[in-house]
Amino acid sequence: MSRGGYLTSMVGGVLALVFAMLMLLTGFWWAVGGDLVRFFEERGDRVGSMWKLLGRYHGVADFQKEDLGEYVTEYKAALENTTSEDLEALADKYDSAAFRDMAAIVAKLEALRVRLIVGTVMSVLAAVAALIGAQVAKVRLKAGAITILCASVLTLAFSLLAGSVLPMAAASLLLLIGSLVLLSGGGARREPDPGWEEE
Amino acid sequence: MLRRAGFICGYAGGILALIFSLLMLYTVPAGIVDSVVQQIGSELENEHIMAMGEMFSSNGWPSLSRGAFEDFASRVAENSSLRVKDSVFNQAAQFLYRTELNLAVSAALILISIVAAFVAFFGSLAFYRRPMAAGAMMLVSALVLLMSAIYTGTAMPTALACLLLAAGGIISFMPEKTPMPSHAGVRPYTPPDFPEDDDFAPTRMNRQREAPTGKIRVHVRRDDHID
Repeated sequence: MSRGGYLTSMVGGVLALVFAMLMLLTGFWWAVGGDLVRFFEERGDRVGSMWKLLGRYHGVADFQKEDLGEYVTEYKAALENTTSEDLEALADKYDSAAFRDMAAIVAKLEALRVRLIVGTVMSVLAAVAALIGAQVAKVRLKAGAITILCASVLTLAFSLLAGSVLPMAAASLLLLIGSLVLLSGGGARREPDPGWEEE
Repeated sequence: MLRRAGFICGYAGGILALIFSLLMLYTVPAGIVDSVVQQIGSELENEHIMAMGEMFSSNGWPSLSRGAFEDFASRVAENSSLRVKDSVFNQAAQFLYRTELNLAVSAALILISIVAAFVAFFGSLAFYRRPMAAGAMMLVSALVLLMSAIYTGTAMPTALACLLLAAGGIISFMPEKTPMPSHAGVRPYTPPDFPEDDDFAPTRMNRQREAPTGKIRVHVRRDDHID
């Protein structure tokens, strides 16, 4: 078995696993990171009033008037139940550009959520398959190399699905190179029989 | 067979340790935020929150020590226009100190867990070549992972990885099957090594001359004299 192919596959597999586990963060950041930074730069001073209006929209009493424990519980539930439609409704009600921007960000996240979770889980599984394939290649060269090749394609495809292709592309490339090296090394001629054997 | 099982346990444990230690990047901060929100609801009053707001808007955030936070709280209380007691500022500062300390310790533990998971994974790869070193790497990493998982409240999934790593580590310390003693009377023939022949590759004919088709058996007495 080619040692270079094995090492490249192992490094690619470990990187693929790490990047797949970080994909929730990177996918989130690629999708809405820039929008969030721009929002807080341009409308950071509106967050306090938005907080208050969002609470009123969900029927949560204002901060100073009620018990803090009840306020925290109710506001937590209100935040969990807030959708982009709620924020759009608030934007229309108060004619607020800040609510409209936040609604656009939340809508993007809602559209991405399922793809991000599915892409992350499948990428982790593909990375684990690549790591298993690298070990299988020690005893079944072709089977292991094909597993790694499939894993490289799958990690790239699922990272595309999750919208976070940039770090994963490096790992997929390493897996691809490793599998091709293993496949090309598989046809190498064996050492000729020395003519004697140990008893 | 047992060694292969040990390698498989260690390798699977290493992969799971990597997955669960990286998963801590999400579960631990989420758990901290949840517990802080619960503590705010149960332990603090409205005036503590206002005092905290005053402290957040003040300059000169303190370093991570109890005394520095107390000094900071008294400094903010002196310049504050809020009608709250100094002790409220002090309690708010204590809460912030505890939260920041918890964050710092959790961040360090996550980092240590990720490093331990990598050590365990690479240890499992060295299972056949350096069984003792691999076993030590896997056992120590399993222990470190378990401790940090218990502290951060994520022990349940990590325990499986630790169990597999511990199994792999223990198997690597088991002695290999004792090799069969060689027969006293028969030793396989080894062709003589002539250094002057090293410069050219032996031809097939040469090799056949050195080692004929039939096996040569040389009889050896126990004191290694060839008959």
